[in-house]
Amino acid sequence: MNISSLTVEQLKKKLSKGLSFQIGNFNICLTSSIPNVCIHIKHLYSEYEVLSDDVYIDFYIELCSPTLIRCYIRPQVVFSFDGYIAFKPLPLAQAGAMFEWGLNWCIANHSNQYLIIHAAVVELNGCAFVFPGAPGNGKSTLCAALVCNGWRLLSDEMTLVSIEDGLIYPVPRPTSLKNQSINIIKNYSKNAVFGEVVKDTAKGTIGHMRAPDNSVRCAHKPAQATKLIFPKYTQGAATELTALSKGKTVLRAAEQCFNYSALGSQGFETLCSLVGDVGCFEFSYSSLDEAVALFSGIAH
Amino acid sequence: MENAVNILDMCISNEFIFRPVRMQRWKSEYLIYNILTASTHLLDSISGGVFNQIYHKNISKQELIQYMMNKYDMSHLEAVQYVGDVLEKFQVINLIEIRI
Repeated sequence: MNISSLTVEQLKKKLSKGLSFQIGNFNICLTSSIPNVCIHIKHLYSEYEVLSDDVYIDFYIELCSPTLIRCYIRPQVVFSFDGYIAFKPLPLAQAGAMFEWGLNWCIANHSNQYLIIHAAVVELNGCAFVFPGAPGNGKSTLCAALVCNGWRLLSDEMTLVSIEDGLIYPVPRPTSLKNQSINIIKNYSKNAVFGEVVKDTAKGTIGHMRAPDNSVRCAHKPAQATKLIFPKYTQGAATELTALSKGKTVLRAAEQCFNYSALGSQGFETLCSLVGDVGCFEFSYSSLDEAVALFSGIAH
Repeated sequence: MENAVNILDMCISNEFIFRPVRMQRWKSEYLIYNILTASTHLLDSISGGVFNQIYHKNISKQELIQYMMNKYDMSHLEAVQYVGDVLEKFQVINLIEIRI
């Protein structure tokens, strides 16, 4: 049963007691009585599978008001993981975004069976392209444009490389877009479905684009990386793909890993193995159409 | 060793103490991961080759100078200068310790 089969009232009721659902290899139990959270889940997670009460849960997450007074005066939301409050409260309007950021934190800090790279990863015709990048480099915008053109979304934010088999395990979730990127993608594709756009967050204006249904349905299917590409959006830049040496690629990718040091030599070996098997590039662009055409051409 | 990480355990030669590292070579690049410091270093083909020589062949500094003169057609002075610099670099990034 998917979340889409629940009515809003049923979803509210489930959420108030704990809604268990699956995202890739992770089982989440989310508890919240906040209406924003219900809307966020209904809009962006409708194709995710609801789990029965007896399955193992990786992350118990609760979103609630920090105090009774904060339900009414300048309402706030607080994120807790297994009862542990990891962050300061945020304004209530940011509850959906806080769920996404908090879940990123849960995965990044508790999944050392993977080398976790801060990178988007998409796949077409069996070719998985990994796009590592610091915030502001246009990684998510590029990822969203590719996904709107039929690429499978494995992840917008975190590439999970299995230490055991070197494959990339999907965790398809809404793509987080910031500021101008929201309207760029809204104008770019009619297929883009957004949740509530939230202003004045620490990252500016934030909008989450729903993951394609097909990507969610294929969330159990790992992929083999074929390209590792560092994107860089620069206004007016020509579309240019430049080869990067493997050594430099490892150093740059290591900077984008959440747990490279924590994994020790396993992290080094996993990253070297990944980089050894793929083509490595830097990519500068300003035109999404040209970027999509280039990568789709390579994947075909 | 195109796509397999080489495991080098901590060892001691007559002149050097080596830290335990993992090493990956791709053509002209050597990547060295120091297990003790969790730091990764990218060496060019010449300095990576030097590291490989002193680690695997257990050669002395004098033998290394001779090796550099033969392999890269360096003068004695150039080889002494280069070997001194590269060994100092290895010490600074904590890949080796030179025994006194």
